[in-house]
Amino acid sequence: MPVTVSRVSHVYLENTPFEARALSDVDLEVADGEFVGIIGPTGSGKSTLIQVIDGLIRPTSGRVVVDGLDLSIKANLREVRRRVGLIFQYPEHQLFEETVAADVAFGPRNLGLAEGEVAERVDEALRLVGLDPEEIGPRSPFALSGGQMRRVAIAGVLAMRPRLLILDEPAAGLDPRGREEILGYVRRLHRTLRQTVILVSHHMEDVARLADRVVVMHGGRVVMDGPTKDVFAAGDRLRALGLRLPAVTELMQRLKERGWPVAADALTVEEAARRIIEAAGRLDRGSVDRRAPTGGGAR
Amino acid sequence: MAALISSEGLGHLYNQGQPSEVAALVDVNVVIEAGEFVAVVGPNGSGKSTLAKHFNALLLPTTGRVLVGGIDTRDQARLWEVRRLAGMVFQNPDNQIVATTVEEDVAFGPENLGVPPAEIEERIEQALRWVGMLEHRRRAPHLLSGGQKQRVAIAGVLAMRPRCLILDEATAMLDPSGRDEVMGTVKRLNREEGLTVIHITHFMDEAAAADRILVMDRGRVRLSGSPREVFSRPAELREVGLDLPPMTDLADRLTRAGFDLPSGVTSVEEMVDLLCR
Amino acid sequence: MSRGLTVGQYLPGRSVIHRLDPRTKILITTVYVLILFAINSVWGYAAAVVFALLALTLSAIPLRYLADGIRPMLVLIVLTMVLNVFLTPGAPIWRLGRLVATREGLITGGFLAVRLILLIAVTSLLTLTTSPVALTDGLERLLKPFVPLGLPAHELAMMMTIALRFIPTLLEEAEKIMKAQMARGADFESGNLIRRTKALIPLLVPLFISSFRRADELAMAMEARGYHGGAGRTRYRQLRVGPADYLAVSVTTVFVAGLIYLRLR
Repeated sequence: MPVTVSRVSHVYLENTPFEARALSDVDLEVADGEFVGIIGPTGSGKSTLIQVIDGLIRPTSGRVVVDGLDLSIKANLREVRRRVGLIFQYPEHQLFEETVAADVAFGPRNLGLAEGEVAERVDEALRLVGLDPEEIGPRSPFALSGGQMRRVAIAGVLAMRPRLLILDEPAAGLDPRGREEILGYVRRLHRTLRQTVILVSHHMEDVARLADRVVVMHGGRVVMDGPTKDVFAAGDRLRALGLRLPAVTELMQRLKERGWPVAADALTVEEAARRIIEAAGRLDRGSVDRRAPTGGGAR
Repeated sequence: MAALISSEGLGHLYNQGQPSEVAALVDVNVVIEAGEFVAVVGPNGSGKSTLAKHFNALLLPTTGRVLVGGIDTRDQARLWEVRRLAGMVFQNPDNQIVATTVEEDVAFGPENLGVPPAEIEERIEQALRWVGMLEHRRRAPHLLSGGQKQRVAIAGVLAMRPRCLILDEATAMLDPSGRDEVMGTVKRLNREEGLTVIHITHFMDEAAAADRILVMDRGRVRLSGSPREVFSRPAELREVGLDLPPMTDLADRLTRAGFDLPSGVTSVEEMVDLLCR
Repeated sequence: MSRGLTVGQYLPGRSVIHRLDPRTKILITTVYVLILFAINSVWGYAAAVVFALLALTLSAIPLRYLADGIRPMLVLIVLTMVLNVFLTPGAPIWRLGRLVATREGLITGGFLAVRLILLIAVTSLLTLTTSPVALTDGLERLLKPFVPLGLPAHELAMMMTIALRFIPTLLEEAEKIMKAQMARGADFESGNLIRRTKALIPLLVPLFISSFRRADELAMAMEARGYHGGAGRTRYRQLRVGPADYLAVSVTTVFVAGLIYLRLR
């Protein structure tokens, strides 16, 4: 599911007093099966960019090609929306049907599929988010818990069998358990279905854990783009852009500054624990004074 | 310090007497002292939001009682006094702003209290200054960011001169900078103006800033203590369904691997210092 | 999208008319509209036109805004005029096949057209020079005397203010929902009228439901801030009548008196 965004710029309400530049000269390529995280402060253009990729916004300049389809050709837009599954923040706000099954079927029906196929996809999609189609299908979506409603909304997009899944803060507003659950499903979709995924999030720990590659946006531009570890290794640069590092990554970088023999790119607590235990073992064997900062100083 | 808010044997049933009856709170006994910053944490369904609504009489107890500033919340005649003493800011930034400009929304509370117009003007200025939104006083609410809207909501409560500010998951829908804005404002009000703060949240890093944490689990108070005390029980927190702040989680693992670390570590700086001892 | 829109086409300004108390403006507009229907002479209409032009000049509102208000009604005005010209009995002045245009018809039609135009012009002037919030305030104060008779003036005003507050927010939400449904393959653009109306269901149902939820949460927030209806409430926004208001009322009184005199003559 390759995506190519070339020199895309977008200006809202051009030629009015409310003109606002949301994207400036953005280049982005996403390869099949990749898991890309997009981070950046609010207003950096992340939301505009994903809508451009789904053909919901037509950029004021530049070219977008999704899975071989050029988005400037109006006839392609419907097909693009089928292949790209875009899940906005708080997707449960789009539920409207009388039953869960009917709502999840909305997408496939819009594609003009036969009823038999639609039913099959509804079943499949609900199972992908851990819901039992027999049990939950006939219920009203509004009688469900918040977490369940969100999963139904996500199923509604998955039922279209998108080849690219774009998620904007999928765990927004959920408690820790709910967050684990949703992100678990996302990870599973990526691993088992080899789904190409773009995850937009403010939550650095989530991005660090799940994404192979991170794109950093600021002021409508792409300012960093690379493997997750590399991007999070640039602590100072990220801080200057107003972004935080995952806490453990920051810890590792500070320890390294203080002379610890650790690679500073741990992204998860497990990884950090392992590295510290191992490094401490080496320190205890007297090979390095753990209190000394690199480059000399008081001992 | 005097107890500002307390509950004795508080129980709350939703849909009482019906098949869908649910016990949201069971035998809750808490005491909130004046000037405290208390965080109430728990997963969804633990009753933390229900508890918060008892503190300003939006909900009344099914069993037991709740006292706010010495007033029993069931005292209908003094309901408005209770709501003045304990002001609440809610989760959705949009759904608590009632007027078409910031200053008029902040005026809403004092207007309800029957405060004379000249005094309302003073209160608006003071409240907006406290939250750092004075320059936005004439703006329309839909043009503000989430963090700004919540600060306006806080100002709206402050204009009623409460003794306690209750935040009911007020940061849940905000982005990181919005959360920082709100937490910064609230901490400052607690420290500098002595405002009692009750912060309902499921973000453990925000709870770490409190004087005391109450951990709710299925309607009961499971743990109560300083952040250090509470975070030194990681197994229990996980069981309840809560996150540990990353440093606390790390400290827990390192301790199990033989490191000698104190309990309840929460910040990166602290961890760095400890490891480099 | 909603950031650029102003509701009620209010055009902020500092003119004499802008600064009048909203109650004055509402009363004068109401009286003017009522008296329009009592005019039946050329002099009467001339006076009414002069009054309107005076108000327009003092308001410093560019003419095109008024023109924008009148334009949609132009068809109706012309139609009404034509009907009157041909269907009023009287002295014939022109024939078109079997239709007879009469002199009386021409006069009645002409008067009616002028009346309609003045009506639209003056009411537009009211909304162009008075913010929606000021209008609501003004109406609430004016209706206050009727509260003991059972009119819920305060509640009506509160409802209006809240509606005004939420219009931009609801528009934003509608846009979000539309995009989410479009991402699921919904088509809001193609098809005949029936099809496009049905296509609105995935937009309107979620909007409705979220509006109910909003209302619920807002009510709770209002109660938490001590709201208990209009009794005992003070108002931050004070309406003050000044010398300009007394002048405006005086001028209007003279105008109305003059018209009544003309009518009785």
